[in-house]
Amino acid sequence: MLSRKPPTSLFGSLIALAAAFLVAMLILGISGGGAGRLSTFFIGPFSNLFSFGNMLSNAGLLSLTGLGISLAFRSGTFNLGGEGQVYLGALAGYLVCILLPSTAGSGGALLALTAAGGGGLVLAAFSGFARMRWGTDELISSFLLSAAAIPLVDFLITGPLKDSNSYLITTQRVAEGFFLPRLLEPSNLSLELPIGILLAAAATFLLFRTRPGYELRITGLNRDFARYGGVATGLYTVIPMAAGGFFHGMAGGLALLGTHHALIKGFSSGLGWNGIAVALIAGNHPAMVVPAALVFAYLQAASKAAMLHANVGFELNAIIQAAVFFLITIRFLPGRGSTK
Amino acid sequence: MANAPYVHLQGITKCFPENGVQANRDASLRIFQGEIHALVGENGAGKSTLIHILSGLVAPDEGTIVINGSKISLADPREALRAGIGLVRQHVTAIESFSGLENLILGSEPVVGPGHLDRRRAAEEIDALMKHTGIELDIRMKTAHYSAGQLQKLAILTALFGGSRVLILDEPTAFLSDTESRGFFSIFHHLAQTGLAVVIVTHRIREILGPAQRITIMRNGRTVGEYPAGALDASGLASLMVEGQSAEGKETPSADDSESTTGADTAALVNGEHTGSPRKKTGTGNKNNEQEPVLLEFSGVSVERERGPSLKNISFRLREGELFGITGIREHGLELFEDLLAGIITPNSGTIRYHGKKVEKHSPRTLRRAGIAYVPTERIRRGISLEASVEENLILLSLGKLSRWGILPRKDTGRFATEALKEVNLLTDPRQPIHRLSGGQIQRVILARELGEWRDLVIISEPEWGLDLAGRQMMYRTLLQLRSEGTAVLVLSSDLEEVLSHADAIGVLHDGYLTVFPEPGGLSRSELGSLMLGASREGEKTGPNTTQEPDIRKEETDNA
Repeated sequence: MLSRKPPTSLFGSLIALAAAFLVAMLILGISGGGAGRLSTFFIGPFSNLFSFGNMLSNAGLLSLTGLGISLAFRSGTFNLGGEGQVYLGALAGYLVCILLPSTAGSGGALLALTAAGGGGLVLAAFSGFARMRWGTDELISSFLLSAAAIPLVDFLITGPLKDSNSYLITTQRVAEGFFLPRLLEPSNLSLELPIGILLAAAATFLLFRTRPGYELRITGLNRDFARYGGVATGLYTVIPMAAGGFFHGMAGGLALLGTHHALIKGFSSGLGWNGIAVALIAGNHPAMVVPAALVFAYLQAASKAAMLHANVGFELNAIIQAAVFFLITIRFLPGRGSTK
Repeated sequence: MANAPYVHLQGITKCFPENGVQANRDASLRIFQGEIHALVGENGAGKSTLIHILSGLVAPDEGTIVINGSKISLADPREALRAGIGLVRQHVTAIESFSGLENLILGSEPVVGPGHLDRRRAAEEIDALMKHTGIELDIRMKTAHYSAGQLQKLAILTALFGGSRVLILDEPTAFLSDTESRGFFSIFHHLAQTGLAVVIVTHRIREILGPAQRITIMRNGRTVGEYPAGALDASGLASLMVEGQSAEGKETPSADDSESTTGADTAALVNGEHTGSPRKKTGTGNKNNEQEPVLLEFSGVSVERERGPSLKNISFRLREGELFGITGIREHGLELFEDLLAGIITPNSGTIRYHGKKVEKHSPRTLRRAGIAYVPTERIRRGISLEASVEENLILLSLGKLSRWGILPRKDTGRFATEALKEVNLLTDPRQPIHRLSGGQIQRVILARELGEWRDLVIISEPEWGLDLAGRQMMYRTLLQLRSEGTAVLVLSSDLEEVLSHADAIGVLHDGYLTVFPEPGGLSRSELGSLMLGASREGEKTGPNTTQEPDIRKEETDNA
């Protein structure tokens, strides 16, 4: 059984990451190809601006989803619907873009990003509300809602919103005026990393220096204690879930306006799930989320580089992620720290 | 008796790393076949830990267990079971949708061929077992309909069916009426005659003195000694259970005797930070002072639930400067009453007035906002957050004072915590996690938080739980001091004696009804005990007269 207490040990994370790297090297070693392949794995993400920037961009998006997960986790709630929240957020952002006149510019982009956040927020907040009101397990409900949202967005992309001129399953591009600035051409890196860092700093301050942050953490650590102490625990079930949803939606919006400029079917794949891994690596500490996202993005980029340039199968990526998940979740098992 | 003990525990030492509590120190226990053995000691003496170690549920830090001549490996519940150790826990649980029979055979089902359950054979075997042991139980009924006594019987039968040679019962009579208890003791007697060892873990001396053949006394985690039943009377037993004190000393920790070091702590605590408007009164003699304003008033409050205990038509008044003790059996309404007071249960009918105003919204939050201190029974689950720091546990009720524009400056919270700890004489780093503190230190943190500021009303449940003698004395001095300053104190306790010796008025909760005794001085312990168990519910009986009080004290100590 999963423990619902937020884990916060950094030491375990470091061991888990080191082990994941070892697994990756082991697989590379077994599959042959010698030192060249290993160096591709390790140096690949830094070999050119394109790979490097894309890695940073990915890290920015992962920071946002990781933050969303950590905030919910700190309050003792579990947001398992990240995938759907990212996807729905992107849809909300896209709809705002096509409804606004193309001359709306950066103001329009801001509005679209807010709408994207709002899309994720609504989806996640409902799970929090249902938990507060009816005691519905938010872990299940957020997952189910997300699983329902994804095909809905897919339907819109493949149907009413499809760009019939494209070979990809995608919508038409948004107006160029809404594009977010590129920071590291020719890569995709845009504002996602700076925004991620900014929000991580804000979340750290909120959590550890303010009264709502204190009440949120106490609720997460011992809901009964918080309740008997007069904390509005119901509120701290809904708000962190909602904030988490907002961060996920933002990630979707940033991916839309910063990277893809259109809704592409399945673009969000992994952002939600990997956000959980990032949050776990960071020990749910918002200040550690950005470094954790960088490490995770590096692992992904490295296996991608090895895949592209050193003829390693597509599975390497999946195996490394599985190893990280597995090793990190070992710490959740019951019996940790118990007698004998 | 000259033969070797069937079970022999030696040198058992156990310290729980989670809270630093030293539960057992070099404790030992010998159990012989065919005897009823009483393991006695106060709450927190280490009895439960010792039997959990024997049952393989807890790993000791040191020590050995020899059963029937061979050493068994520790912390292995299955090996303990194989060796014939059967534990009947204090809270017996069963699968409610299963019949007694189905619960009984769970894990040792008699099967025919590949996995076909032979229900008839199982029933026959259990019928034979019941005939053999003299236990009567309807095993075809679903356990959802079982009473506490029937569940207990089920647990005993389960252990015997599983082949137990040593039956250990943890506080078996805690939730039983006197009549039911007597029935169980005759069962135990019968079982011992068939060659079983029956170990009864209890802190109720009186009921064990007759049936037990041998008694092992524990105190502060150590085994004080093992005595044949005839060698001790009740008062001798009581004084052995209470550390370094005569039993009398334990009974009357009054506000006046301040010779022990803890006196200073208490004085510091109560004189410390009552920044409100404490109305200083002289002495503690405000028993039933009709002039004091009524602070809390229940009139006709009922809580009805589909299952479990309910509360019926509860009415009482609590005046300022009054200490009101309510006693009852925890599972038979006292817990429910605590939940009602804490605000997590809303009454179905009746009104509650606080400061003369009707309480409309009933929730922990509104009660806390009204400035009520509440020390819950479940100190660890409701009273603190184990993973948070000492400081974070201390500031919970003072956030309004400490925060500015929603920001909690660390300097301010740190200073607040340091001062609060000083008030309870706890010199420790407030930024460390609270689970590093001992149980007693954690209690002090809770007291510092709840009583650190002036409160009109203090609700405290089971105030003695988890406290050693010095801690109890400090607790009572604090409560008496608060009372003398005009705070109303509401004590909920399942332990009769502590309520008897300190309260201005006493309420006894039985079968959902609360009977209030405004003059508890005349009540004897046994009277109160039989009221708790429903012997009589006429109520409003005032005792014979106050001159008998010394005799009552004497009787209490006899039965400590």
